[in-house]
Amino acid sequence: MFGGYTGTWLEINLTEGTVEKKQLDEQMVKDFVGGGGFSAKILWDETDHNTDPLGEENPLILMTGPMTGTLAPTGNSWYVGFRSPTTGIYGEGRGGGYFGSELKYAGYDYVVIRGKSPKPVYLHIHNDDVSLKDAGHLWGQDFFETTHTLEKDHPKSKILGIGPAGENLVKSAIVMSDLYRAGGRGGAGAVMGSKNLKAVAVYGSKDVKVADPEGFKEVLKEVNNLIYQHPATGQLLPEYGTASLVNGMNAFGALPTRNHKSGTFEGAENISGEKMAETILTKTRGCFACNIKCTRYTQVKDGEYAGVESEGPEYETVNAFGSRCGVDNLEAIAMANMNANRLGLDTISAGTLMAFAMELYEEGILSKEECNGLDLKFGNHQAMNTLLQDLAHRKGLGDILAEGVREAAKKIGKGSEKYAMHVKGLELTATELRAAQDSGLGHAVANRGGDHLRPWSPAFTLFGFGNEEMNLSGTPDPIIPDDKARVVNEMEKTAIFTDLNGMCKFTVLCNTLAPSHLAKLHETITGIPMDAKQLKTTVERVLTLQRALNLYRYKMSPEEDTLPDRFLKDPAPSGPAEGKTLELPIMLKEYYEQAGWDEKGYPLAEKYEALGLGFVKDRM
Amino acid sequence: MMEITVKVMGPLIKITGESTVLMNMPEESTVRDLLEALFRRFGEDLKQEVLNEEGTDLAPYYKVLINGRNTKLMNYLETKLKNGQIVHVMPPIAGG
Repeated sequence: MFGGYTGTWLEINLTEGTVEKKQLDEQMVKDFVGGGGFSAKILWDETDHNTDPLGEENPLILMTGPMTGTLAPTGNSWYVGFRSPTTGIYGEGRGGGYFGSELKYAGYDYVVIRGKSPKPVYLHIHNDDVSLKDAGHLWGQDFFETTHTLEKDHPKSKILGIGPAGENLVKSAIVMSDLYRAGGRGGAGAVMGSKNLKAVAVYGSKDVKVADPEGFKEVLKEVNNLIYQHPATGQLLPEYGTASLVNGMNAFGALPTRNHKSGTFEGAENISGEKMAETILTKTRGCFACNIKCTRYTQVKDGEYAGVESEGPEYETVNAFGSRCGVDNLEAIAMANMNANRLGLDTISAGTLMAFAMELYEEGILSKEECNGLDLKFGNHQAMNTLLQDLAHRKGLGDILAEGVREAAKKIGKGSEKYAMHVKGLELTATELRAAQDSGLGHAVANRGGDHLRPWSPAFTLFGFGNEEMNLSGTPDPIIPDDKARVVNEMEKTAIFTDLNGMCKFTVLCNTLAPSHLAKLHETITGIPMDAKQLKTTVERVLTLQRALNLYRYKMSPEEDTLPDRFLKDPAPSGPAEGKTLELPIMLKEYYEQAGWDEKGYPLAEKYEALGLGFVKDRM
Repeated sequence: MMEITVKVMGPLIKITGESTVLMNMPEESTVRDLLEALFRRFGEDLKQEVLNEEGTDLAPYYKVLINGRNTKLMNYLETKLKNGQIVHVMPPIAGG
């Protein structure tokens, strides 16, 4: 077997209560690496538009990558793959912490979970000993309680699981690990809940071997030096975390405010990273093998929210529960962050849902009575925190919002669709897209829907982090569409490659590492030849398969590569993009051309052949 | 005279003591003039933080924005200011 892989995976059938150990397919490794590459292939082989995302037939794929559990910088990632109950298309997510490496140390590259258990269970893995155990006592517990309970029964184990939101099949439920790490936007937590699977506890004592230890050491020296010397990974993220973006994004008019109505928030300084450092920040942390350590740990010691304590909130969460809801109270945001972690909710989608409901209330589409009696005006942080609980427990309005913003708008009607901020059903994230046109394109084409991480191109277009090898230099103008397709195309290669391998995207987010560095890490760890060109082909293969999965298996129309009218038709009301709309068609056309897709957004038949995806043609 | 609102962030706040600074500048002043006035007001520490080692240009990844637009998309440090504008002096920022 190749280096970086254990060579074994687990197939769990919850309906039958069986556990099987299987050998890793070497061709899968060569073609799809790990992470979202494996997930896409498994979903292609096993699912289609008839697959009920919350039915027994939807597999929940718990993945790692070859770098997970190695000393590759940030080699700590676990992934989930599934057909999303929120979007109906490809679903995936990534989490950090320690769970992923522990799964590798137990001897497994991934776990495919099928079926549905007749009663709540958790999966216990201790090296070769793998079993399903009763989770009746855990059902109903929040994720913190679940973790503490399982840690008592299984000392040293790392815990992954869901909170009440997942149990209640809330479409914004996420999978949590290591108390505070989250992954699986688009309802991975609901898929896990639908299977009556509460948690996975894993402890391992085996090794993950690398193919070329001496070569790996040399590459490590080089990439670690780059990480330490780069201002983003060597200084800014360790010292300030991600929340320092608040003031910066606000300056560029790119801080989504009041459900994306504008990109400037008058209360930004009150919820900034600088404010956090002055007030509630107590310490910083990092995940396994991380030499960036962006995580903040916060505590509220007095006042209305005294007792709140959690990792985070990071930038996306600050924006979601902050400016997007018109909230300028950092302690209230910390409360929402902690409760989202406990309840097992995706903070990004949950914040979007709160902001959506607030705008409907202010527009008179929802009455106070319909809002569970809450005075749900923008800025009411107490109401926001109450509605968050109602969302997880499907109470009143929370039950409607629990279907995701797209479906909630359909149910509420009365013109509420125009206030639903999503792409393909997945809620939008923390960038005002009219002020960063490239990010608008990235969101529109992301295979899982409204996703800011394919890639986070404002690192270059707003904040100026270029890379010579990637031909990213100079000062791009973020409010015009020129050259943005190339920027997204270039940056997504490194972003997605980290996601196949088990690294955190923060190694490439600000273009710290280039394709050649990632290729060398991959080659020395796995022993599989890889250079920058092969890396791009590998990423293209995975992204094209995910695209084909959406188009042919799940019957998605490429016309869904779009954004809410708020960005396409309503000019930005303030900030540097004032008067501008998002010029998506121009960028899409260029992106399709560069990707080798036709003008409608379908990959060309010869593209599939060239990428070794000939099997897709049978289903076109 | 023109009134310019200067906003700073990150480590610069420790030097200026506040995130928003009002500056009165003569008509026709440029971004460079404004920076020099800021350095006179807040001292050498600010200058060392904002400028490169040679003192000839902004330090790497530093930016000056006028009303949210990067001055590199204008005449950079020679861009002329107008009354009432908001100028951000932005240190390197990362996240996502």
